[in-house]
Amino acid sequence: MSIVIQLLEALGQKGQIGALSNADLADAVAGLELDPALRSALLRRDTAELSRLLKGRSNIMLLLVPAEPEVPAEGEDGDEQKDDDAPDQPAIRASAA
Amino acid sequence: MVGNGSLACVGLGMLLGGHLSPRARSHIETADCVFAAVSDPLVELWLQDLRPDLRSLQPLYDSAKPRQQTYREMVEVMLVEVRAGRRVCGVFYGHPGVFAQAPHEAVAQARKEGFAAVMEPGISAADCLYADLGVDPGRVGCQHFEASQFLFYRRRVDPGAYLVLWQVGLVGDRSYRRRTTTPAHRQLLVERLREDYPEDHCVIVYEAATLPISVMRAENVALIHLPQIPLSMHSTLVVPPAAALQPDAAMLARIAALEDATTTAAPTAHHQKEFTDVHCDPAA
Repeated sequence: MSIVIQLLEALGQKGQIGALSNADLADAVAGLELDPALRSALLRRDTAELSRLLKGRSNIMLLLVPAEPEVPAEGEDGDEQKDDDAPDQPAIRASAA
Repeated sequence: MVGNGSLACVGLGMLLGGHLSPRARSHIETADCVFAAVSDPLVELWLQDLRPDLRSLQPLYDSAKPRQQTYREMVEVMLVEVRAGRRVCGVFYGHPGVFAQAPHEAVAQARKEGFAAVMEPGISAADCLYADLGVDPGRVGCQHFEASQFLFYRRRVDPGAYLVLWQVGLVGDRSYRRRTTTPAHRQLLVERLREDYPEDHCVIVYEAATLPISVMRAENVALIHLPQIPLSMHSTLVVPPAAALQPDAAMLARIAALEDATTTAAPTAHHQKEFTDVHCDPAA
């Protein structure tokens, strides 16, 4: 496990009151053998730069729930359209889309 | 059951390292193959350290296709492995069953095909919201809607309760391809909310922290200024109550009458026996 990810995991598991202060972050980073660029990104809390340096994904898409049923493509079973029209079904149909 | 294939959709929680339950970790560590859709590149790297053979679901997204198609593909790539007899784990940030379509569909489809499938809950953004903002949904109630659905359909708002609108950064998107919508879309949301709330009502833009070095966002803003506030896919809108709870005098009177009747009627031998049978007899 990379030192940075290990540090993030340890910080995430540590119970503390309130957000991590800059002083506590500096303390946590101080003893680690880190590339200067990684150390700087950590201390600046620059997560995009950290991700870039660690070769993480540049873009992440979140899971999002569609707000309405999908309109069936032409030629799809008409019965599904009937389900879509049911007044108490939109969320269920959206989930199944 | 059909074959040995199985599926566990597990929640990672919101905070890297801090919210992973022992059961979810066990599924991740012991599955034959692990798929993941998470909220942050660093969280994905963390998971890759737990499972170097992790298969990210991110490459399935494409701005050229609607997200519903992506979600169908997520379900299918997991089910292909289940059908091949493997123990599959799908890892999703937060709670895999809260504002997430693919995990529900994958579990349902696996069961429909005769495979064992479970969902392991995780700490959701809603859970973080309650803690970070000091909101107890039991105090005056709390309505949750997907923000666009709130616009597309007529929903009944109770201004005496909290109103939480999820995915507000994409409010009004019907293409299901965008990552955000515009201030003009948010203006429509403001106009809808103005039917139930005053324009100067203080609302909160909330984003849970996903990394221990980041901080949660809780930005207060007057409702009327919402269109000018930067929002992202992570943003949730919290609308605090704008009205006191309205007592239902007629119902309260009926309950009082019921109580009066109960306290004035002497308990019968039959009632006493029934109580004993139900609550006190360990052999019952």
